[in-house]
Amino acid sequence: MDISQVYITIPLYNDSKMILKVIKSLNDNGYNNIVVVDDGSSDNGYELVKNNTNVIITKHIINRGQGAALQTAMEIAINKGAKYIVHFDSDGQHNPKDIQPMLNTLIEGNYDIVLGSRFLKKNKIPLKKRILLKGGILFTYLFSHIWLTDVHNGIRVMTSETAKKLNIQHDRFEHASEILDKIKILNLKYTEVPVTIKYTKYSMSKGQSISNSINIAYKLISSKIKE
Amino acid sequence: MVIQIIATIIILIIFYQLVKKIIKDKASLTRIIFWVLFWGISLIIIWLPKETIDNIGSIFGVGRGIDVLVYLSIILLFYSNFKQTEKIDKLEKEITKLVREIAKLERR
Repeated sequence: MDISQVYITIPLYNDSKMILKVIKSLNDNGYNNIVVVDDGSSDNGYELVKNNTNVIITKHIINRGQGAALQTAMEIAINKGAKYIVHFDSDGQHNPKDIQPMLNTLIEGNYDIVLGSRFLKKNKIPLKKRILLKGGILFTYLFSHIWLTDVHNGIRVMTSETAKKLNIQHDRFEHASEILDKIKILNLKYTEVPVTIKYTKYSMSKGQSISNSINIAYKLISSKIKE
Repeated sequence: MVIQIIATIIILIIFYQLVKKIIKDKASLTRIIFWVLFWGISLIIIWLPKETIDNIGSIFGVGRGIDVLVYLSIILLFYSNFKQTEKIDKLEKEITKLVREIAKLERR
């Protein structure tokens, strides 16, 4: 596999403290095709990235949500000729070393999409987070009839054909469930690969709250009813 | 009696607003017809004798005639709320599309 065919897509929202480190760690691991979409941040992340790196960068003039930013990043990557697309978070909780095994699995297993799972590896996961995620797993099963060991994990690897088919419609955090739902609807071949998640005070402060999770569930259910 | 007068005044104010809109040609014809009918019927119901209203109520299986109006209003409110949410969702999608196109044009 030619690494120049791999595009890393990063939605950026008020993560100026971490983003340069994240980009550097990706570069250090050989990934140079990086698409960063600043989602109307109020900090100077966009300028920092633009002035200090060579990545492809653009910004949403107003905040539209992580799902919307990812979709923009994917469209740019596809337009640039990407063959493989990686979803990666900007807060430094993902490990760039996890990308290669995911890509290998994707290609060797002829999968459409490979999802990262923090529960397949020994990860120190805070209790509150653990409960929330297990609830999410159950919800995903009930909602999309797809049983996973982890949901709402931001690291994913897919082919560009899959990315085109996914076409994320949910602008905010519901996009993570939307992707799983579409895997089922579009009958995509998927699997999970163990990944590391680094929990820091910083990444925890940016994570999902319980009330937010309820909100996500509500939005998903109401959109399904409208269909 | 007092409540009937208050309701009538409110409805007349609404009518006045509707007429203003018609003159300015701001609202669509179907919408104007709907609201004129809705408020017109409400105005008639308000001034109907109590027995007549209650008779209407009993047709619908509701004890008091005024309750029919209340139930109807709730249904209408829910419906208009649903319609509005739908419209907002559509607008949100369009805003995202617009923001995305601008982002693509400005990418480095």
